[in-house]
Amino acid sequence: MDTQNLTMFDSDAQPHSQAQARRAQLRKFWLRFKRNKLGMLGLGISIALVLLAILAPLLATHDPYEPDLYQRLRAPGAEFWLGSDELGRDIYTRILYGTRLTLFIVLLVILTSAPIGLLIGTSSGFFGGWVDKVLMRVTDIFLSIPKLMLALAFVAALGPGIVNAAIAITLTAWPAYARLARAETLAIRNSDYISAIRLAGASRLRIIFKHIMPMCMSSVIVRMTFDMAGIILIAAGLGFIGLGAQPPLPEWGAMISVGRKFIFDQWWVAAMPGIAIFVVSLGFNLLGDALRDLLDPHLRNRA
Amino acid sequence: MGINKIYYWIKHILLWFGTVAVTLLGLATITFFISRIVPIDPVLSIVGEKASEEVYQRVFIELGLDKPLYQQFFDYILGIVRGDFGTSFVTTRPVLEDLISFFPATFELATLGLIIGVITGVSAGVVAAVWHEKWPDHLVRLVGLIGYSIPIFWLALIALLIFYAKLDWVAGPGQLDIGYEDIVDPITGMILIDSLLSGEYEVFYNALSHIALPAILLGYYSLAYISRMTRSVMLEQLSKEYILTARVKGLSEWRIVIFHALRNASIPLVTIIALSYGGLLEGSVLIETVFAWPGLGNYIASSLLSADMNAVMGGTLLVGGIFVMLNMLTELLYKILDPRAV
Amino acid sequence: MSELLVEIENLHISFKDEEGKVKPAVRNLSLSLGREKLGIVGESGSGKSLTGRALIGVLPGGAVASADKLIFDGVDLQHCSASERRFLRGNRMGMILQDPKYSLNPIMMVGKQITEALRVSKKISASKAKDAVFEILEAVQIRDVQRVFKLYPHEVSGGMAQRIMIAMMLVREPDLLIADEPTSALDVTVQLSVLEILDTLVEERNMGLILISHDLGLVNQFCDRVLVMYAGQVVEELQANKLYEAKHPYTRGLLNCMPTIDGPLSPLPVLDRDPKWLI
Repeated sequence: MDTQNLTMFDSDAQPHSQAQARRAQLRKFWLRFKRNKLGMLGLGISIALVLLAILAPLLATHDPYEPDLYQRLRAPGAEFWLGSDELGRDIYTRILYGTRLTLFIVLLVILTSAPIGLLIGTSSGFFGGWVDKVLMRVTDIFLSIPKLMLALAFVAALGPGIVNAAIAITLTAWPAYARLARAETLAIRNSDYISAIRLAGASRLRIIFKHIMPMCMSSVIVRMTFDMAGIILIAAGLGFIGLGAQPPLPEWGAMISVGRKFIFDQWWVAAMPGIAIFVVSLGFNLLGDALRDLLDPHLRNRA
Repeated sequence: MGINKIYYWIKHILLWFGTVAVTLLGLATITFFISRIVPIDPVLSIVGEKASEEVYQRVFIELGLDKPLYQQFFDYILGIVRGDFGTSFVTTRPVLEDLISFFPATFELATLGLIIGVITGVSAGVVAAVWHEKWPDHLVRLVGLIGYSIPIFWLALIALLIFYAKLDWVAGPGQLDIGYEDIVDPITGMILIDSLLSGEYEVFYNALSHIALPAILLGYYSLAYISRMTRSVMLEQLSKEYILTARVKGLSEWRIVIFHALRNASIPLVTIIALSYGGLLEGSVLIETVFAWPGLGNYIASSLLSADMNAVMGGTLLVGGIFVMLNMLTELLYKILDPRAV
Repeated sequence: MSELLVEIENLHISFKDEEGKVKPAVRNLSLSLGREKLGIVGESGSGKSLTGRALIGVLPGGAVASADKLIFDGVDLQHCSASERRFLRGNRMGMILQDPKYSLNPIMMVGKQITEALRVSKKISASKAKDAVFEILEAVQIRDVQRVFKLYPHEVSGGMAQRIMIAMMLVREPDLLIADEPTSALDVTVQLSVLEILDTLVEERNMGLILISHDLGLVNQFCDRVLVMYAGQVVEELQANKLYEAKHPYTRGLLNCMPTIDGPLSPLPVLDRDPKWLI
């Protein structure tokens, strides 16, 4: 049991630095994650999404914007792998380019809503008092409207368009992170090690950023993956109503909306983009489930 | 009831109302500011581009746009308290009137969807918990997973394609076939109930065949969430000590699951279900668009496309208000149902 | 009819962990019990609770039990039907759990929980059941039974709740009662009175009692015989009043750790665990 007897080659050697400890932790995490097959599937789909978005021009068979009215509404076949739409454009190509839009919206929303929510939540929990009360009232008000409705209202105010849609969705997404962060902050605010750091003279800002926020990270990450699925669905919903990305952008929800007119005879125009949305959303949900099984401290202690 | 209990309840009901009022006020503030930053000129959308300067000025003053912002806000809030949400320039009726006429159809659809979702969702969740980690559990989880990964408006279109166009099992979009409209007097505004009350059974069956598909879709949407929640609540209960006691008493497994575990689980479950109703209202925006359902969701969506801000804000405020009420209701329910709470 | 209520020979209980490995929890356990009081003593993890649960038939999920003999009053528990097992469990065996805060259904009136026990297999009218409940509540020394009947578990004290638990298990007049740490969650002042009530009732009804505890002194006081368990095995079996004749070093170690009122004031010895005891 003497640590000094362990050699460098022993895989159970005690880590000598923070970086080494972190790497070991990540490795262990990865090994446990690999065992969850559905989670790996989710991860695979997510990675595929990114790859398709990057490689779209290489994998496309046609131009996504160029109309060809002689080739309107062709059934899926050799020429148009997933059929052609009402302007003769190849649906497969448009779905491919649509991955870029999807990725853009998801990343934009996640990378803005999570930090905002985190900041508000940790501040609220840490400072307490009237800061807490005011911030939580505001959060509750935002949470009190169904997300789609609120996003609709914001997009109506800001005007249609993909960036506005993303902003609108961000405004509906941050409250959940704020609530989460606040709960975690309250749980650890009075713990001994925080008091110890305070006694050592750390400024409040330092405490929040370096110590409290990292503790929230696991819940936030789980929430993020679930949010990604939700964001895609809301963005598609907005596109379907006509308030998201505007034509001729190949946004999947808008494509379904257009395809609606032809649903009974040329069903593929509406069906294909929907399958794409479903697969990506499913992938994120599977990933989220797997991450939650691994990261959620409440679940980890179950026998 | 002791005097202490009476004080307790009075204090809490007042607090309840206070919270609802404050939250609704905040909501109104947000909707007000949203409507004021709209880039579309509300005057132009009423008078049209070719109107003269006088007409423009007249409407401008009518809408109160010449007054300072805080005054406008104050008037707006006052108006809401009085029930005046402004006028929809699309329907040219007061928004409140519009909301009242469109709400019952949504209420009917959402409630039916909830009933379907609760019956199937709770049963599925119980089954999943009892056969934990075996195939029924996996099946329920799979069905649920699909349910919240699938875009509901797309599923609606596919369902219409299959069950209406190809199989002809249900009627198509719309609340009733054209031939049946205006036969029944609107008493509650809900077709199913009104047609039964008037004894118009043919209308009832037609309405049923129209509402079936959207209601089932909404039911599936809530089944996904409810079954997952039921499962986790039931699993939690089934691992508790009092279940062991019940087993030791020699009770049958089903009796234990339903009368002990489920009864205890129903306390958090009822509140979860009440909250999911809000999600249904959200889902109905999209479903109503696909099924041309004359409800609140459709009203809001089409008002959005016409930039009818009064209508959009009024609708959002109503839905938001319902959501707030639901939240408050769940807190109340918890206190009533749990004998440990008071 | 056999004299013996319980006959267990070579009971093995094991669990399968996450990775599928089999971990033994109880090994080679044998005991027999007549209409007497047997105590099982051991520390946490010694397997004493599992033994009781295996007998009654409520092992936790993932646990597998097997034995050469597992007989209750002549009935082979391993080869009887599930419904027969359930019938025996409710009617002829009872088990009291440790903490009544958790072991009673929190949203059911305590009286109803007892009538439920009665009405499981017997066809009995509601009012007759209620009378039987009042009777048994009085037997566990609860006053004002009409009022207590309608209370919820969180509205009664720990001691009363445990007595209600005892009432619930005894109302069907079983032959065997297993008490798994019945007083460990109670205040010290209440412990003794609850145990005395238990003791009286068991004697009056000529029942067999298995008292499971980590408290050697307690078990010594109330039982006729004592089994000492360590790491899933029985390491010693003694007559209660002959505890000082214990031969196994673990038991001797336990005895040495017990404080005595007139003993020396030096610190109590710490148990020195010999890995040999694990075999």
